[in-house]
Amino acid sequence: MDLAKYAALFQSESREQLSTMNEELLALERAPTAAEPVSAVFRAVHSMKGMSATMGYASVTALAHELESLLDRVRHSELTVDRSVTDTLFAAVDARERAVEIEVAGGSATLASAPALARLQALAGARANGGGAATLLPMTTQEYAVPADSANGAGRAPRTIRVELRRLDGLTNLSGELLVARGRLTDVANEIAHPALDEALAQASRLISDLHQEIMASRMVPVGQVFDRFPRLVRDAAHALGKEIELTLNGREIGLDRSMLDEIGEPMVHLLRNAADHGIEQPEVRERAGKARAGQLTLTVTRERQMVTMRVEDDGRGIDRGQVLARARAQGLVDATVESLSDEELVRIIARPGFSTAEKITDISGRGVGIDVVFTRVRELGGSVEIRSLQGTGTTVTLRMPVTLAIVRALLARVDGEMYAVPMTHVRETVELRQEARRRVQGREVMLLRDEVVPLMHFREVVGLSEARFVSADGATQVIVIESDGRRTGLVVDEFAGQQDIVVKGFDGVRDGLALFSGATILADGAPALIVDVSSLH
Amino acid sequence: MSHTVLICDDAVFMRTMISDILEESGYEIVGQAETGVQAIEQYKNLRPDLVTMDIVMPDMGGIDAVREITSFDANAKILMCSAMGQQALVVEAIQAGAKDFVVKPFQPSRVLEAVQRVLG
Repeated sequence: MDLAKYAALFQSESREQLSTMNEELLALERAPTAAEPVSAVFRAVHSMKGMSATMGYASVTALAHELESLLDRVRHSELTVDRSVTDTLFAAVDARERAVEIEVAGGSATLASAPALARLQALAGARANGGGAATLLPMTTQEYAVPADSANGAGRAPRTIRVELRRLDGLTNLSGELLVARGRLTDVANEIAHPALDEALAQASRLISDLHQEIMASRMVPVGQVFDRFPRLVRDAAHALGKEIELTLNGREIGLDRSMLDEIGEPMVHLLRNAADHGIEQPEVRERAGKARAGQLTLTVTRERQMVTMRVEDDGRGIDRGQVLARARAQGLVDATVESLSDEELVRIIARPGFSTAEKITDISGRGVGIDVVFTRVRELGGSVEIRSLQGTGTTVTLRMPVTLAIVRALLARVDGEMYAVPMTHVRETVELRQEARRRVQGREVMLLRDEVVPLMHFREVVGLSEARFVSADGATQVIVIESDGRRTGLVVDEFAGQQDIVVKGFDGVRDGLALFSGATILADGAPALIVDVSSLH
Repeated sequence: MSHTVLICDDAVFMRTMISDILEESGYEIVGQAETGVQAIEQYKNLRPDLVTMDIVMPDMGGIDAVREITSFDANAKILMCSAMGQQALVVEAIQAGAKDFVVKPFQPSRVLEAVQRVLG
């Protein structure tokens, strides 16, 4: 039998089981005498043992076997769950995770997993009959009984099939192309104006929309698939730092495009580590400040139409604005006259690449290690970051992102005969600007938008066109009011060209070129367009 | 006419593998169950010629499922598929009404032999 084709399936299922193990071990740590977490870990371990033995992954099987033995002693109250037991179990689960990756990649993890194996064996105690496996598992199935209501639910579980992400990506791309082709077809049909054609097109159009929605829905996975490892991560960070931190995870069932979820995992880890490391104080410090010893860290995911919001909230010491301001002054990032920083200004400063790390601002201000990395990543994904921080009370970082990467609604604009796409997530409004509403303030060109003064930016200048001004026949100027990081800018273009759903294509920017574009797309009429990275424009 | 089979195992990996082995030899997989409760429900609906049954599963384990299925249909043909280290349980399963067993890790030839024996 060709085992290679099962390796990917083995890997993905092991990951799920490893995540279950971590989750249940955390539950066990909180309630060391509870029986259900032990049974649940046991089931997952056991399941993996059968799988890894079938694949011939010796190190994974050995770890599973010893884990079973140890858990069995716990089940039979021969071993009391304390910190050393949970630490050993966590270490074994980690070793197992590494072993799976090594073995799936074709290596042997026997050496790598030896220390964890030894720890397990030491705790499980020498086996009396030299490894008679049957004696290790004198369990009866009744021990797995769970309340009847969950058992009833399980009978109706939806049937599933695993599909390689590559195939789903292919489908997504094709359905995106189909949307584009539909646009082209609609243009042609409008010219021909034939009732029968219109009717057939309307029907095909609906079907294409439905198809596209189905495909996008099939890409959605609950954020829990990635976020469920965070409680473990925060626990480890807290232990290492000698802190007490309680992480609450809300909205783990919210669906997000698989590719988006893969991309956002790392920035989230960054934010949580930051909060644990620099936000939340040592227990004694918290007590002196009149707070509970344990810091509260909350990750809340919510969805609103096509946007998903992820909020990381801590009740730690907050950002020391004075320190940030002093550093920003020293680096010439703000005027010497500036006395205090608003949240927006704060974000702008700490989001500057290298600002925080360059001078180790974290050590004095309490936050900021490489937070620019998070900003960069989120922007690349077409999202935005917002920070609210109150000194002594805590910090909240909010990420807003589109639910899916592949298709975005964009405003199209023509500049010097070329089409550019501006994602609608960043467009506040479009304005036909009259000469009367234009002003100059401190040498900068601005526009008056109701009661607000908004700086103007000429897209022609941005892309380096020599003829930097475009004058339309009637003297009015077309302006797209864009917003990112809470700041508005009026982007002057030659002409608006409507809205469209565009398929975002990967884009290798010109080397050493302008970091202005986040991708490219093919428009309904077949012409290419560059997608403007709005956050790079400030 | 090919024999129909219901596969019960909590791991997709195992279900896929058993299903591949059997399908290659011309058996028809009519259903897959992840838990003992699902196994019983699907058995009643599908009435397969053969059931492959894992022992350790969430909600209801394989042995209880065997008891339920054989009390519903005394002629049910159930093949236990268990990981090493469950020999004691295999005996219990046979007493509960299972016809035979194979031990993980599977060798396709062993699985097929056992299936043929049970259907015999």
